[in-house]
Amino acid sequence: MDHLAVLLTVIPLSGAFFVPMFGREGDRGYRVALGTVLLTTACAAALLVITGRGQAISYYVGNWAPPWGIEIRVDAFSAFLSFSFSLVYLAVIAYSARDVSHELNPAALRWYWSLMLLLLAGLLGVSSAADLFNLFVFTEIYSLAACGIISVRDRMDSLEAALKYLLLSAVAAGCILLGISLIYMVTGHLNYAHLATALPAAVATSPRTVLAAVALLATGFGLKSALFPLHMWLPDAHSSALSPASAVLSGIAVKAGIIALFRLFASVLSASPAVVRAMPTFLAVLAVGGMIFGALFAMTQTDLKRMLAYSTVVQVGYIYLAFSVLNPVALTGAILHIVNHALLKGMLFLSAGLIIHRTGKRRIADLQGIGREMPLTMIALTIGAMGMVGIPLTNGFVSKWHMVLGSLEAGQPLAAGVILLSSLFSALYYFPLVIAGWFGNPAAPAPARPEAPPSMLWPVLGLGAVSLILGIVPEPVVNVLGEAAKHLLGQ
Amino acid sequence: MLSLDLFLRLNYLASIMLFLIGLHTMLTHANLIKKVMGMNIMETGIFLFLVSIGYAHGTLSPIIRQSGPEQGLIYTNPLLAAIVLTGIVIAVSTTAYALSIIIKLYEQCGTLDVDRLEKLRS
Repeated sequence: MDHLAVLLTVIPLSGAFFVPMFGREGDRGYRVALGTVLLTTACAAALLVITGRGQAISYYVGNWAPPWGIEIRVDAFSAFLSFSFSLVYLAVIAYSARDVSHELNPAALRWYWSLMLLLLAGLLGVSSAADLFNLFVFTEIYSLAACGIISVRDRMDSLEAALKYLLLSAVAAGCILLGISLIYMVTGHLNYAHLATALPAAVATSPRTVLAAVALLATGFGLKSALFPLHMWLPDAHSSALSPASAVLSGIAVKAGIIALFRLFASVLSASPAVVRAMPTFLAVLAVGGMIFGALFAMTQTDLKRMLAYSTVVQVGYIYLAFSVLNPVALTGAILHIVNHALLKGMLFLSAGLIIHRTGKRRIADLQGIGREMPLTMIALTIGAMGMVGIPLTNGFVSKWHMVLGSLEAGQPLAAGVILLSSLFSALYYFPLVIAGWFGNPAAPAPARPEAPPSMLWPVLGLGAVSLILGIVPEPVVNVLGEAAKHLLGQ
Repeated sequence: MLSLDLFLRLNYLASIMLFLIGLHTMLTHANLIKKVMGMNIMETGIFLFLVSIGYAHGTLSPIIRQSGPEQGLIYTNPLLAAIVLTGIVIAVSTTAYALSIIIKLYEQCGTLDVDRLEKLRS
């Protein structure tokens, strides 16, 4: 059973290799990709069941134990994230079958499937890595794959966005690698568990080196996860990619940096409180900046996908802010929000993709009365918008509720206030969209068959159904995550 | 004594300087090729740093010998060489990919200047 931990990354990695080999003709590439993601989801589900019983799986690659061997560790936190990410991936892959083949030529299509699987492998690798260098390698795998997915479209704006993303993520990679080497220099370990025991002594002898390393790591992963003010690559990258690719990039890929930082804090830095104390305040300030400026930018956007991309900057701010109060309840909210945002933003980008696919409209102003032409798509868009704002009965409400509750419990009413205020801001840019979509007057009469084909529609509605279920019966998930959050904070 | 100390640790100073030069080139130059060159300089700086922290004066190559007078001597840390190799592979692939995008951009827009690309776009 322990092999499941490594299979979680090996399956998508080998899928990415097999797609260009076997997916040369027809929709075979799609079938290989779908099969791979189904297998990955099954693997993640099995891991979720095993780790749900409270035991984490440590897998030693090549049977060499740390500190020399590579350890892969899957606990409830990473199993839950892997499972929900694979679920979103399933919907996105199923959706892509019809949408992407219009946009790409057959040769590029093959690489699209391959890159999508490579991205999944990198993301799952980041969430299950248990040593710093493995973390770095998987971070690079997913970053390069993400750039590739953007540039696969081969248009000027996509290419430019991909290059901008690539160069900035190379800066981030440089910071991360330098941070890792500084930590290795003072402790002599890369494995998380060994680092946690060696770090307090290192902090005592060379506190500045450790602080510089932590700062470099935070900068690197902050850039990868679009923490304000390092978010400038995100709107271009996520709005110029293909819609299903945007759904994955914005919903999932951005979270990898957050997951990496969570893990580092939880399993390494919590052992040396002196270093940790400075960081959350710093992260909180940046998070609040992201929540305010991201919302302001989102309000001024005229392009639907750009607006959604800026909204991602805001949501990343939420997650960092809830993390920075270092309270188990708020951390539960933060982890839940990682998943909720993946579901909701995935659904929003896919419904935007449906609208663009059927009508070619990208501008928010052109979406007047689109609900009469495409009611099912608009329902999905509405669920997504409600979830983002945090209306009760949606999953967005549950995570925001826990964030606010946790902040109050930790004695930080200011953080709770900012979260509530930012929800109000979200309403200011999501509600006009919903109101115009349902009640606006369309400029031209509706075409005869406007709604998208069912094969594209059901993945979107499926994500919506999962979001609603998570919103109405959140207790089982919250209980599991509550345990995971306590474990992460070392309580 | 201080100057000798500094001389022995010149590699650390050089690596940090390379890192900063690379970073500065990447962030301030408008030319895309120069940005990629900056990226490579920055990465070289990190690799030099990584190799430096695994090496100390008078250490042996990390090969276990059957016999000999080396008992009790220190070996160079081989882990960092392996890490640098992996890092170089990543850096090379990133560079190749960046250059291929730049070629495509140049074919479509006829410029390598970031500011002009920005103008063409809007």
